Amino acid sequence: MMNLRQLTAVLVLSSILLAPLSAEAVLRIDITQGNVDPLPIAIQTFVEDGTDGLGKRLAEVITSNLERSGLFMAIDPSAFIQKPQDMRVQPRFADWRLIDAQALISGSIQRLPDGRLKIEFRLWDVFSEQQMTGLLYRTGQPNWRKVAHMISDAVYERLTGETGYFDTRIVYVAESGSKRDRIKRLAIMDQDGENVRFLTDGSNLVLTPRFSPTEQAITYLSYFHGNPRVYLMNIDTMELERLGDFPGMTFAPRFSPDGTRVIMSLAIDGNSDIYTMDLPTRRIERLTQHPAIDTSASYSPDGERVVFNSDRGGTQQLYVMATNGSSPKRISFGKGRYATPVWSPRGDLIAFTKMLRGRFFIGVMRPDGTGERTLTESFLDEGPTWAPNGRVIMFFRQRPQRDDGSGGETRLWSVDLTGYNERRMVTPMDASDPAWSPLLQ
Amino acid sequence: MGFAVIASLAGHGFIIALAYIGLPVLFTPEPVADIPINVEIVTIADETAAPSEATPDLEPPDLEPPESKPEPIPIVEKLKTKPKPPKETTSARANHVSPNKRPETQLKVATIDRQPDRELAPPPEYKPKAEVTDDESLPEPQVKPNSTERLEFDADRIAALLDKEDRKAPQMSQNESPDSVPDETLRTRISNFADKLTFTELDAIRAQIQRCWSVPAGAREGQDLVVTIRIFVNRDGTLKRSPEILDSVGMENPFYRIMAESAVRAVRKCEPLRVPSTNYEDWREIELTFNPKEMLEG
Repeated sequence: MMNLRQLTAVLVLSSILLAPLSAEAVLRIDITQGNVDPLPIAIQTFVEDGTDGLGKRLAEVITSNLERSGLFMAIDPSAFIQKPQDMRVQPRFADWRLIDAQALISGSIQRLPDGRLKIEFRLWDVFSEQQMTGLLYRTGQPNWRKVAHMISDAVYERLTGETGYFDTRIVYVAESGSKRDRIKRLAIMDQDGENVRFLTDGSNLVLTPRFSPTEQAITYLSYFHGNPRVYLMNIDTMELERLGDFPGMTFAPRFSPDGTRVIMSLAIDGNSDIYTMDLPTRRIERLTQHPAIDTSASYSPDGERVVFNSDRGGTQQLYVMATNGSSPKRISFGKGRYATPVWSPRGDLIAFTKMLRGRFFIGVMRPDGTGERTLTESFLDEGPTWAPNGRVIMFFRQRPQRDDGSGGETRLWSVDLTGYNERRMVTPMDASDPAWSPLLQ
Repeated sequence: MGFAVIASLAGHGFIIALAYIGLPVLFTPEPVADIPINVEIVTIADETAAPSEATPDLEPPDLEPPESKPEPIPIVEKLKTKPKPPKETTSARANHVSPNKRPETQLKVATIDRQPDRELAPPPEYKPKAEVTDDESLPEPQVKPNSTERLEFDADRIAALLDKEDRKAPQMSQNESPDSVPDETLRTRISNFADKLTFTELDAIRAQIQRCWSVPAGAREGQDLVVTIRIFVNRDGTLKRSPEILDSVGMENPFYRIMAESAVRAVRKCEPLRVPSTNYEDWREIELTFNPKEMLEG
């Protein structure tokens, strides 16, 4: 031991003596800390040609998208020095550096002779004075908002390296009426809360809508003759179909990653187990066979495994098993009960609802159960759903109801994977059970 | 008989005495060897910049940002009129009828080249533009609350500061044993010492760039991404030419490219750097290694 120390001392000494000989001319500095504030970005009004103010509104939609992500800080346009019209060729970068913009979006919108719109944009690196990306879209007038989302996605992708999630929709349960006589309808909206429309009329209770990963279809639970049943709806054609006719009740449906199967719970005589239905052949396969309650199954994005919750261990916990139902393994070991697991589209995490001491949490853990952390906490947070890029989680939050009957509002919220940037979605009425669509094609 | 008793007593006494004196020795911990303590011999300038760089920017943590939209639209109105400003109603209708058609059939997307229809002039030579990035005239970039913590004065941090093998630096702060300090690290520190730049001067450059560096958010591979760029500095702190990205092969990885771009942007944003007035040879060429690992973990 001592010898080792002495040896070390000798080494240290000798290296001190020898070091100057090997000193290099290049100075090396490590930068291990930086600014994690949102990136300052300037979004210039799009130069327009016969489009009645659409240029400004395009910029506004993009601004609101990027700001909502929490990763960007849009600079107040009143601080802009260069006018939009002067930017047709190239921005005067010095002007933009002066107001501290690191990135700049400029663009134009023009009405073509055939009535369609031609929209183009460029993203500039203000400090390197280079164009980072530029795209051109031709589209009909009604789609200008979609193009704004596509531009937002392109910018987000180029600046963060992640795919965007702005050109997406969210389906949820819109709730109205008194607490006792609740009307629940399926509603769908754009990711920014615009374009709300209802998919069902509210005559039957609906719950747990889930998006197909491959087409514009959703699966959800609705009551049929007083029994909960799983339905499949094409949201373009509004075609509706009841999945299977079982002796018991079916609930908690979710699509497989390739969209060809629906995994769901089937309860017979009070015992619920997990089943899948192959959509083309309608073949049913039973995955779990256990006297405990198994439910809320969700596929991993590679389709190899399934996470579900079960009380087979005494309390409600999360389990992962192979897609054929073999080798279930418990993954949640923290205090409290765990429910509604959802596998991230990236595959690296599982989001869940956790109940502990009368409080609700939305959290994430790795598929092997390690690295658990909670992102939100409140009186009632439930039903996480992932943005297609796996960076943002949406859920619903209910406020406590007071004795006088007030309170109890239920709204959709989103939170970043970091646990920051908690934001409430604007919905016209109470909303619960959100489901995020994949990126639209 | 008498002899046997005495012999037995003496023998037992001896054994007991031996046990009494000898046994504790077995349990005495080996004397603790002096642990050599690494002393950084650095020249400290008259004014130490490090702590004062960090502190003025302290801001109360603002963890919960205000909500994006204060939902100004009256609920009733929204319900009645379909949530659309009047101008959009047509578009909304159209979407209702055939939402799926809009992406496929009506939307053609063409990619403009990186250098599109209009030929963009190459960026002009970077000449001193003191009026743009002069520190006094511009609002200081703010240091995030959690990062200020790390800028606090702390001996381990100083060691890390002078350490080029930054992967090993955090290790050292956690694990005080000098045995674990790799040789190479020591040598590097000493070579930095040999550069004769004072700690203050070195730290000043480092602090400037850290404040100018917007760490690319959400790079999920960020923890493994380390980008090194080389900059060539004039005596007045401006850049002689564009920063060089070492290992530019990695640029095919979008995350790497974004990291590298952010590094170049940080240096550009800091231009002109506040540089020491002496020892120009020591800092005319600087290799900056950007490594967000510590931050992302913290």
